[in-house]
Amino acid sequence: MTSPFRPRRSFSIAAFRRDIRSEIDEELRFHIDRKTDELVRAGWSPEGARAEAERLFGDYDGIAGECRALGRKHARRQDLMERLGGWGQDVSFAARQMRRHPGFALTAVLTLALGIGATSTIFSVVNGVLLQPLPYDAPAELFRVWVGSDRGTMSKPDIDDVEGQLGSVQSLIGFSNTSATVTGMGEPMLVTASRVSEGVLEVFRVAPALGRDIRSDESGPTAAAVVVIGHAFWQRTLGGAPDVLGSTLEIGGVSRQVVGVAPPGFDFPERAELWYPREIDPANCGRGCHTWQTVGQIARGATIASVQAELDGLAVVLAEAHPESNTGKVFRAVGLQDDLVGDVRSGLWILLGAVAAVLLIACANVANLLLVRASDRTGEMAVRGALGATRRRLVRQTLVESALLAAVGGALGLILAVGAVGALRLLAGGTIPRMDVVRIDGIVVLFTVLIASLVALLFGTTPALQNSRTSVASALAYAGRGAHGGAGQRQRRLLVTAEIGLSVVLLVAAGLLLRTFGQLHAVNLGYQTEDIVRFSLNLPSSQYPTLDEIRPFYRTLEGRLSSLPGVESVGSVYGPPLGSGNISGDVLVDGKPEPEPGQENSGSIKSVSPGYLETMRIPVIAGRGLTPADDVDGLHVALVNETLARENFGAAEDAIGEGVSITADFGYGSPMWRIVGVVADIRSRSVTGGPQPEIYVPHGRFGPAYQTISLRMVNGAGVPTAAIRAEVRRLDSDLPIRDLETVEQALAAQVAPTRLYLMLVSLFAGLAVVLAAVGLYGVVAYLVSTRTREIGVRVALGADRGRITRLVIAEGLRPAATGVLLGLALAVMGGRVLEAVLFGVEPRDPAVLVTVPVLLSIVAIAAAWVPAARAARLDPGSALRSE
Amino acid sequence: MPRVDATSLYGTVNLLILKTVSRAPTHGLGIARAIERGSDAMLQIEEGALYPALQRLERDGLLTSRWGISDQNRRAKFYELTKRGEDRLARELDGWVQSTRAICSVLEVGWTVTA
Repeated sequence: MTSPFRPRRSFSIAAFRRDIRSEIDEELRFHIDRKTDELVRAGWSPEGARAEAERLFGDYDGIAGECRALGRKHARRQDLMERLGGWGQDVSFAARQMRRHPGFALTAVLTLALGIGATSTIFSVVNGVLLQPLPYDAPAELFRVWVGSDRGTMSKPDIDDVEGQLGSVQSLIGFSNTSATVTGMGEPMLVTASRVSEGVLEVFRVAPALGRDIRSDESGPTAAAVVVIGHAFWQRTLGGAPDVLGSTLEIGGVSRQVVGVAPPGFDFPERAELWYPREIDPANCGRGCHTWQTVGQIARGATIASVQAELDGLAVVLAEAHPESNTGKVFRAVGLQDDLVGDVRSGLWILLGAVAAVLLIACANVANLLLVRASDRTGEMAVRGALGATRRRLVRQTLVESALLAAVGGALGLILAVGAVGALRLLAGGTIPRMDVVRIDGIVVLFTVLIASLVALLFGTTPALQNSRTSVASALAYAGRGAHGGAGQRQRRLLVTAEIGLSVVLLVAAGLLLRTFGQLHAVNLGYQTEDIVRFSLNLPSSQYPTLDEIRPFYRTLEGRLSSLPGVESVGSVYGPPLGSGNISGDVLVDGKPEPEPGQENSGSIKSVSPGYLETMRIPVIAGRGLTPADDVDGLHVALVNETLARENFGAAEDAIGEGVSITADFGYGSPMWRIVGVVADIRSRSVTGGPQPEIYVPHGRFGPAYQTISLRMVNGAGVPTAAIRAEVRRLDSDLPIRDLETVEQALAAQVAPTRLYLMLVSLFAGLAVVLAAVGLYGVVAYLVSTRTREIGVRVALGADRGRITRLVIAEGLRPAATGVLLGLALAVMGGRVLEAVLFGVEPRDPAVLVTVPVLLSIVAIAAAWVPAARAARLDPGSALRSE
Repeated sequence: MPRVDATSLYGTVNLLILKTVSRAPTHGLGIARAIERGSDAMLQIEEGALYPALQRLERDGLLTSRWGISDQNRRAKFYELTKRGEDRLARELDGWVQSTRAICSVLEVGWTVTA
């Protein structure tokens, strides 16, 4: 084919070489020919002149070869420069296009920025919390061992066996968290502390900043009075004094010598600032006494799985050797990071999935916009094609425009993400562990760049191909009239179908979380949570060694607090619901043989003051409650809850008058308790967990030094913080108040993860629905604009306007209906992934699966109705003239 | 006064080409003729050697070329100095003059050199 617009540059290598060769030959020939002419003019014979000219020129072939080599290299470089220049041209052309259509560019960029920003934000959380290793030397080698599947604590002899007998365990130490009162330096301070079996720094392979770690020989029946202090504590309260080693601190009434300072930043476990040895008393607290948390190192070359395999073997051996304590006891090894963030893992991945769906919808919307523009630009593209732009070049041009949109959107998204991460840190700080290390770092930026590139390809490819497929003739025939092709319209409908499908999935997820949230609040906890203020005290054993000191302190305090204005009643408990403190053991029934190992029923001891049940509104369902008389003398009487009664006696009434003892104590032995009443079950441990078997014993007979005091306030009375502090100080000026909170606050903390997921997923679902509605609106509006003439004709021919509205809406609802069905199918199939974050609702909850399609249908009708109504109002005259 | 390393003197042929082309766009033969004429036929260069030198100068961006019609109505390739070529020529001339002056003074040869 011959064409006046032959491409200037050829892509054929052979032709390219021929060009260079002939150019150089022509240049060199010109030289020799002209030289020959000159010589002839000077009187040489023609033959002699040519020979002389060639002699003067030198080695023709050698020179020509050298020139060709140089020329080729040069040409290649120029070619590259031209290509790069082409890209530059494309980019500046794309930028001009954006400036020329600011509305389009702004919509596209903002949509992308929202999608990319949200995705980067959630990814930064996933990255910081789940993917980044803990900031220790060999974080993958740190692990913990629990008893059973519900994070049961271990006994010291079991810990020693795990450490001593398993080849895949390098070390395993025990600790228990506490908060210690530090006195003697002004106001008493409550400091998070850990009582350890040996040095915790060594497990983490960190060296102390000063001094040494706790030694293993310092714990034992009589623990040494030493302490390792945290770096921040040292700086804050001791001014970083270099001579701190050897000085003493008053901790919980014990003078402890400072032997070491931890390195900066080290605060395991749970922001601990003090570490000191814990007494180990094998006589009183043996293999059945589970009071230790653990942390350790696996051996080089071992894995968590290999540790677990060895633990399973050890459990069998120990059950045979110590049936009384180890029958049925299983150990579970878990990596430290898993242990820390395992609870939020599925939630965070679900959030990332949700936000990815939003991003896809945003992409679909931008692709839609681009398709509309592609149709509008059919004429432009056709003309450029006719003027010699290759199909390749046109595709490239469109892709460059998409890339530029994605780049600007991505950059803006990253800025959004910086703000969003800050907000999320505040919002989720207490709910998601490690939230404080979440930030926009290099990895997040890289992720954002990748996502933006992917997004550019996703939304850019379809319109690009659409553009290039246009045939010149058909495009020019329609030029100026905008749309023509069915292909673009079909693609746009498909995109809207996908958008609505994804929105359905997100809405279902949001709906299920909403139901979960409702279920969590609807759970009958068994007590009244409203208007209860509570706080905890721990009486130091130095001043309160026995019940004779502990009992009067608490009873006096309770009495004084109950006379405060606004206080209805006061009660105290060891082991409050949704709070700290839990002691449990096996239930032994008076007159029954001791149960076979492994057949024991467990029971948790709640040590309560006489006013506790009334304060909490826990009803007595059989027998009587506890009276002040039970608190001081006479028989050891107790109440049990319904679950304990049922497990051991069959029914509540049958428990009355029976005797039980629990194999756990606070140093008062295990008395036989005469059951005088049965109380209703409450959910003690968590909102979602079922009731535990519990026994309520009088604090005055069996009272630990640690108590949580609950005040039932007159409705709306507020929290009498100052009065509480004053009353406590009046009794003991060195006692710090711990965990002052309302039960409602404790409850809120329990449902906080669900609330966070609900908030974010709802936000994403809302975004998705808005984007999908805009997408649907766009498709229908465009449809109307392309069929203005047809509608005008119909109206002119007397078509009913209502009929036209219905016609247009129906056109819009077809992709919407398909989308809803697809989305529902997807939600039903994939609902299982949500199970980890749901409570009290099935992933296929019928209410949600019915409500969501109805809701989306309403949105779809509304989105389609606006352009449909406009179509119906068309004036046939102007419609017919419109083209 | 800046010192000039005599060994770094720009290739003489290149310098001659740049200078010649700086006066007017010229083809290869024209450059050869100008050098011969300008030096009273003292400087005889192998004419063919001009062409690889021209290619290199073009590659380095000191010259550009385009096909034009010569005085005899034949297609010929004309070379022209670029902005970069002008700067380079000025710099090289300066260096050449300075080093020549230095060499002359060492050799105790009376000579006045100006750029």
